[in-house]
Amino acid sequence: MISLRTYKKNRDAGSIDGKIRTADLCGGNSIWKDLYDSRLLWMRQLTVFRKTYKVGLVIRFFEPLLYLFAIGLGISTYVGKINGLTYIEFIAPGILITTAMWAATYETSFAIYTKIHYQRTYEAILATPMNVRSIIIGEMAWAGTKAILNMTIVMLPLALMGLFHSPYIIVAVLVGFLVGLIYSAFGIIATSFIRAMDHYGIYSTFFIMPLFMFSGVFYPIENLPGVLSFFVCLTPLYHGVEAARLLSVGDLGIMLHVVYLLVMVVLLVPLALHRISGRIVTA
Amino acid sequence: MVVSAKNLNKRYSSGTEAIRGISFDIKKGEIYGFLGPNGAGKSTLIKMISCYFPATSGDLTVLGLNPNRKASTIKRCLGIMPQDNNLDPDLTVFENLYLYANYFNIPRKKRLERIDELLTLVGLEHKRNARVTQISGGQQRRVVLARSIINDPKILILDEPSAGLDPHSRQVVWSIIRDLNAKGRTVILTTHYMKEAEELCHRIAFVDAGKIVALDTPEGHLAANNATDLEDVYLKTMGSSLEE
Ligand SMILES: Nc1ncnc2c1ncn2[C@@H]1O[C@H](COP(=O)(O)OP(=O)(O)OP(=O)(O)O)[C@@H](O)[C@H]1O
Ligand SMILES: [Mg+2]
Repeated sequence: MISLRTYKKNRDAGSIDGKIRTADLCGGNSIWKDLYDSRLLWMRQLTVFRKTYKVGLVIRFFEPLLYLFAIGLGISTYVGKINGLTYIEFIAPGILITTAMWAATYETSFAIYTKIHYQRTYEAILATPMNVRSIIIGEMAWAGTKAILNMTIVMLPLALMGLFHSPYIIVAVLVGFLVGLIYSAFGIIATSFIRAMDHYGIYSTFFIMPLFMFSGVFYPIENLPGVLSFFVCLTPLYHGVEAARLLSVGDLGIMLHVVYLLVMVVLLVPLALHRISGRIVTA
Repeated sequence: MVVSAKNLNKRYSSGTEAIRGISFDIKKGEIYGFLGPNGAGKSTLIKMISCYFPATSGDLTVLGLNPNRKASTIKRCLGIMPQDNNLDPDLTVFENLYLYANYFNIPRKKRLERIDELLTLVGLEHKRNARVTQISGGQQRRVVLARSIINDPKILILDEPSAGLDPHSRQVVWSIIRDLNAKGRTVILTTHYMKEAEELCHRIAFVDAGKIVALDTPEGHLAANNATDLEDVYLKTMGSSLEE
């Protein structure tokens, strides 16, 4: 271990002893410059996306219908109404918000792992004025964009079926953007721990799936035992789902949910950056 | 001095001491070569100069700037050709160059001109719209070279530029390097190919186990070792250090 003073002296002289932190890999850029540069990574993602998007769009359109018909129609005859909503109307906003979660999870798990370990995409980009921070912020912004895009596509069939009682549901897309950012941070943190592609199974089975099942998408969480419902209240997905459900019936009282999601973004994004930078550059 | 290193050290987080107290100065307009066996630390050195990761201790300045403080500014003026062809396999040759230029904020019109110019230079106009996974290794290498000079760099940093190239392509690469050098650009390269070093380099540093063991002009090396070619010098300077 060296003292902070020695560390700073060395760094200013051009060297870093000990553990290399994210800031050390950002070459003195301000966060604002990196935020601005991150758009260039976003543009790379858009270029790749434009080559293959058509198939993806079709899948996105039909996937939620599958949920609704399989689960919704099958179960709804047994459950009657929940808070005045038919069962299908009850789950539709949740299906909509989880779309954001899936989109962000995909973009930041396999996709980033491949770019780090197989395609060495970032290694190439780091030879330009970009740095790890602008790259990862760009990836998160892209994950958020995909969340918005996929939600918009999913919303179409659901709205056409008349499952939403208010046009305010459009605001749910912005809530979904926050959910997307949060899950992109989770995905990146998971990627930073993973040593083999197969290990993502652990992340999806023990983290993503439980969140999906227990976040009030399929039934009101008041039905859960007290302790469990307390934990569910801590999950970002729950707040996204609740906000979307309120919006679907024209209720704009979503402030607390949005604040919670914003706080999560502010906490998780720096953590994700901190975790992944050492995996992108093995120094 | 374009690049100046004093007592540079690099210890990887794995514990490997890749660079152990290296000092050198590279002058403007010079072609400077690092030669040495596998694992000597050439790529590690190149990565520090390229602002890829910081040195563990010692002083390093590139274009008079500190890589830990001004990496983006420095990198704007560097052209980096890594040892491995890390082209983006999701994209075509054109898209690779186009997006790379975008990271340098080169305006669109200029970018398109520059790409045409470079594809002609490396003889790959006909592969413009091919996916990079569908061109040969040597062709990929030439795209990587084109990519590295897209921003008209002040310093060209080439890690084994001619690895995997046929004699014809190698001549193309050498003439590109010479042309840029004639325009006053500094070139830093590593190679395992002695003839390449002899043809191109003004000064050659032999690196072994993280240290510079000999530094001179090609002629100087020949004279000092009483040798007829650089291969001979290499064998004499390095001994047969295949330990570890
Ligand atoms: N990312 C890394 N993490 C840990 N050790 C590394 C890393 N990269 C290289 N090394 C080690 O550092 C030493 C120097 O490696 P380097 O790649 O710089 O050699 P080189 O001279 O470029 O060799 P070659 O001629 O084979 O390209 C080697 O012992 C290597 O195993
Ligand atoms: Mg090497």
